[in-house]
Amino acid sequence: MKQLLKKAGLVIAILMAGGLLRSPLENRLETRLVETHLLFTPPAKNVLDVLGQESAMAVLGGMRSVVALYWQLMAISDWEYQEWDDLAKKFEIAALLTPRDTDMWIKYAWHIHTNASASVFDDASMTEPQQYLAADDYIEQGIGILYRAVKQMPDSVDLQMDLAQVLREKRQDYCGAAEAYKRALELEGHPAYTTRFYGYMLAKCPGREREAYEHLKMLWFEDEKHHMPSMRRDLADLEVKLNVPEALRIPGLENQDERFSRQRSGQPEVP
Amino acid sequence: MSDTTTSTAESAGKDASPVRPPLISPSRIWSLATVTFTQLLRMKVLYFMLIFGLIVAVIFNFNPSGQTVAQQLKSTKDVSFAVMNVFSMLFAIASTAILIPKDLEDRTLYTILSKPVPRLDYLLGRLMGVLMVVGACLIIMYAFLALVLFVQEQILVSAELSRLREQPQMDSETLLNMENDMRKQGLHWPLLYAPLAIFLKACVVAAVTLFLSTFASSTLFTIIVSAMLFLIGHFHKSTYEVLMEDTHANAVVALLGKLVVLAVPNFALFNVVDGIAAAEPVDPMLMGQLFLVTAVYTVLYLLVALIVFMDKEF
Amino acid sequence: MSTPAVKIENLTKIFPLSLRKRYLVAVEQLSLTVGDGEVYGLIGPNGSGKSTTMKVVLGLMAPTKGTCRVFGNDSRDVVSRNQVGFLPENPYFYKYLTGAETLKFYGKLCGMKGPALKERVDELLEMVDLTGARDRRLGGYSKGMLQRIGLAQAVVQRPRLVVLDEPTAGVDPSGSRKIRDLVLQLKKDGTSVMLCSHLLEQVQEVCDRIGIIHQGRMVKEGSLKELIALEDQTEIVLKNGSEALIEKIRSLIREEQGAELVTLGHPRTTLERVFLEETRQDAPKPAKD
Repeated sequence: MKQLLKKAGLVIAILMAGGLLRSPLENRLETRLVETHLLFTPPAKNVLDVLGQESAMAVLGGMRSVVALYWQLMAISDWEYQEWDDLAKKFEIAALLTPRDTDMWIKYAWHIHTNASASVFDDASMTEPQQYLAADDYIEQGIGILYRAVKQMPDSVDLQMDLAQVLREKRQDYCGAAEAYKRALELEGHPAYTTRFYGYMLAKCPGREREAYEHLKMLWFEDEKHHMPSMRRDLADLEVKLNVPEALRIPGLENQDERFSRQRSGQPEVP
Repeated sequence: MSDTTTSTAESAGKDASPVRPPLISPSRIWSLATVTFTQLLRMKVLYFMLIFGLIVAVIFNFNPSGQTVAQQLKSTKDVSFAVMNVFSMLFAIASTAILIPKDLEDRTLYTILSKPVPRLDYLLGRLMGVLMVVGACLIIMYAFLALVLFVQEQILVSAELSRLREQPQMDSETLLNMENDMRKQGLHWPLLYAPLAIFLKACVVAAVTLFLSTFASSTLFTIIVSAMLFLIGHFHKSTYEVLMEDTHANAVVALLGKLVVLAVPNFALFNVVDGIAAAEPVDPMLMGQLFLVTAVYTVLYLLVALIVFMDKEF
Repeated sequence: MSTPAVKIENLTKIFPLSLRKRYLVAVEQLSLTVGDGEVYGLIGPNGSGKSTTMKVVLGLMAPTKGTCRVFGNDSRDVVSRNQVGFLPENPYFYKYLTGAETLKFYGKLCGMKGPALKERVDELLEMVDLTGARDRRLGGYSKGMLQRIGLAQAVVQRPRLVVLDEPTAGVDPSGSRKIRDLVLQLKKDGTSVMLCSHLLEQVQEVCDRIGIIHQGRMVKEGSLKELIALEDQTEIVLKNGSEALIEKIRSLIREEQGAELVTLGHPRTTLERVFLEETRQDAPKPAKD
């Protein structure tokens, strides 16, 4: 019996000593793995709060992605039944588990700013002004989701591009969209049209017309591939707006008549 | 019958100081490992591979609305790695837990240990045998996953590209960017780190189970306690941190928590599989360190297993 | 004098029964010596301490008190196992291995390899009469065959001491006869044998010396002759003797001073002998016994 206790003591002592020896190496490794996004450990408390015990076990047992996928799939039926709050809850779980899944964020936001905001117009219980207000709420909510996503992954071009497009189309926030395009420009892998769109958005952002003109002019002279109808129109407009002396204006921009007809239809270049 | 005569007579003349067997003999460990390998394979574990194939095939054909190409590819990887993970852990725990009690029950342990086999060799041979099966199964499963992923990538990406080409104002650069985005989730060499990480995790799990089975009174006990330690090892650290932040935890609780964190392996480290599957870039140096951590855990648990097993009586 | 194969001195083995202070004394102050080349029979009823003693010899257990040496080496030291072969009672080897694979596996555990091991495996299969079943899995072996492969396994590294635990338990008479022959062969080769059994007849047939163990203590030890010989009696077995001849013998005995006729009647053959006589007429069946 004495021997047994002695042995148990020895075993515990070895495990403890081993733990003390390995923990510095292990902690450093863990920090590095988290920094390089290979490892993501959601706080155990949050996971237990949000998920049931079984899901939490699965997550903690190393199946985070699959559980996240499961919740995304579960959200599909909420989409069908237009249960937007339920859908948001499920995506929130997915977001907690896989905060670096770009497509997940974009889809989540899209459900809210596009699907949910459109669905309110089918809701007969609301008056029309109410419907518009509710739609705006959803749009703001969707944009908020994208901003959260950008915060998680400031290096994602896709997120910046999506954010810019949503700001431009849903909120008509051209200054915000310009900023998003600008951040996308700083990242690798942005589409070729990003730089032009940045200029177009600046042109529509009050107070930044000079900046817009300089940017678009630079592009105009840089490469003929930029000579798009939208660019001709915006440059010509800006020259008028900024009172650029006739002698300094860019030759060969589109004529005034064409310009006005386009301006009225209000169609920007579509990628 | 008469052939034995000469040989035994020869050895009978030898002096009473025989050569000491080396403490660790690779060939002896190898023969124990191969016997374990054969033993486990004959238990038809490979049928599991069929189930795995089925699951991957279902995922392959599963295309819920709203999934982008990249997401579909990622789903295939996520589900496959999750299945590989579950299989490896269950197998490592169950088979390691069964081996020693079964040897004891069949008295094969007597015949093995009454040969000049140091007990460390026996433990190492058993552990290695289990890990060989896990490794072989992971290779088979990964090969299947790689094949499916490759085919899926080709089919989905080319379909998506031909759809995108018909979009107005689509330029080749954008197209290339979008293709790269999709292919990022396809088949790449760094994906191989995922089964490796699963294997490393299985090593630690098997070593812990082996330790438990050296003193456990029943196989069931070993399996249940191993599974519990496995779960605890995934969240003990974060739980401990939460505990320390949230409550004015009294000294006893704090000490106990600290002891658990020190003694139980931090299995959460091996969850890099998720990051690898998400096509995050992998630093080989970090994988090397993970390997090192695995080695430390395995040696540590083998050591305590040996301490228990060394003068265990049968 | 050469080193004895086994030298046990004052062996005591105590098992704690529970956490409280209750103990079971399995073996108490036991001493025995198995000489080099000797066949020693350890007999006793079930639970008498035979198996414990044997496990101490094999290093599967450590003595609580006393010492056990195998060819001079402490039995707890792995080195002592170089010289020992062991056949447990009712052995189950890995069912999925063939006879040849089994022997190869145990040979490798003893550090044997290459052509030497292959040759040894063939030799052993020949010895235990299982050449025909070498590539069959042990799952399909009969009990007697298992026992024989077990014996082959025990001597794979040519040990100088073989420990046999109830080697014929559950084996039919012809199978146990084969095993007995193998033990006699080992004896002829100069291998020491320690045989544990409760089948007295079997022990009587092969052992040079016998120890009787009861409740953990050695109660009687000595050579077979010493233990069973009745020096003052003589047995005559007569064939085709007429009544008249028998009467003549009776009267001769009566005439002799001090002589006394103890028994007279038809001698009984042993049941084992009858069984063997009967079964020997059958056509020889290959491999399976």
